[in-house]
Amino acid sequence: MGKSQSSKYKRVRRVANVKDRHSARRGRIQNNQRKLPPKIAAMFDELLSRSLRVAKENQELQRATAEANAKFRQEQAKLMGSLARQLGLSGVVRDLAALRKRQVALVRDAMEKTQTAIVRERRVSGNLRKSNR
Amino acid sequence: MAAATVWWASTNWFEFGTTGISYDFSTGALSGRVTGDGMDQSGSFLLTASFFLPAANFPQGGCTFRSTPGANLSGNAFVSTLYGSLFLVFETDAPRAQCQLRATQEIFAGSSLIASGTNLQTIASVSGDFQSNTGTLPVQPFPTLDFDLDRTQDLGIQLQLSFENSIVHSYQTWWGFPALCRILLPQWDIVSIA
Repeated sequence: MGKSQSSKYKRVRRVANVKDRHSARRGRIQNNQRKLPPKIAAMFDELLSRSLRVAKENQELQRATAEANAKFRQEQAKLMGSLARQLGLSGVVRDLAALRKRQVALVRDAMEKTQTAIVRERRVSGNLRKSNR
Repeated sequence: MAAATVWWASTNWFEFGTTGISYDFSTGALSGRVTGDGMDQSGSFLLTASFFLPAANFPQGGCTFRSTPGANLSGNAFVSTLYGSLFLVFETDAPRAQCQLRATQEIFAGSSLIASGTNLQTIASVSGDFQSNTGTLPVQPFPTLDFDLDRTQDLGIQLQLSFENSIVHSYQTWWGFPALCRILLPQWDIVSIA
């Protein structure tokens, strides 16, 4: 970013993390030197509320679907337990579940470690680039 | 060739659902991470920026203009899965995870929409057990638009950038860092093409 643009951002008023009914978190920053003409500003506000309404509705739809899926999986797990008991396979299923849990823990741990290392490496190289400027 | 710079007026950002995202406007850094296990998750991050040009500042010549906003995105998004839903030892639903980027430009003469365009891109996507994928953000996500300048009205341009993240039946991680994921929306020129 050029020097003139950096100084411009210093002139702005910041209103961040304001909770409202549309979203969990939001932020706003505006240029007080160049405010939108009122007519355009009103229209942009209307557009923004429409976008937020649509995003909120989509999110609600996805949340409801996720909840229904979770309920279905609970029922499926109950059925699986009952079936395993009837077949006398409770021990085998328990062992398989424990094995799967162990596999997940190992993979998850490896993923976390790799990502943390990548982020750390990029943070270091980012700082190096900054100090070389 | 007539040209004029549109002025930045304001920027808003919002997040919905499970995002784990934080956005630093001064650096343009978007960062965050979401993890889940055995459940569906979704979340989106929406960034809108308003620009304008008063009629008094329109360039002297030119009739049709071209607008090419430069978001200058950099960095990447990462998605991964563990395993899907199981029935006994059989997998009934394979896990899927994806991060999409939707970029919209809308141009107004006064309060009338005169041009609009959206680019939807899948940044990273995986399907199946124990998969991971990293996708690089497009440098210029917004569509280029051509429009006829109405010299009687002020010009307004709104940009919307939306990161849409979803995960079904598994586990996902999504992150960014200043060196990884930067979003800055600098001012740009509208340039006459006719």
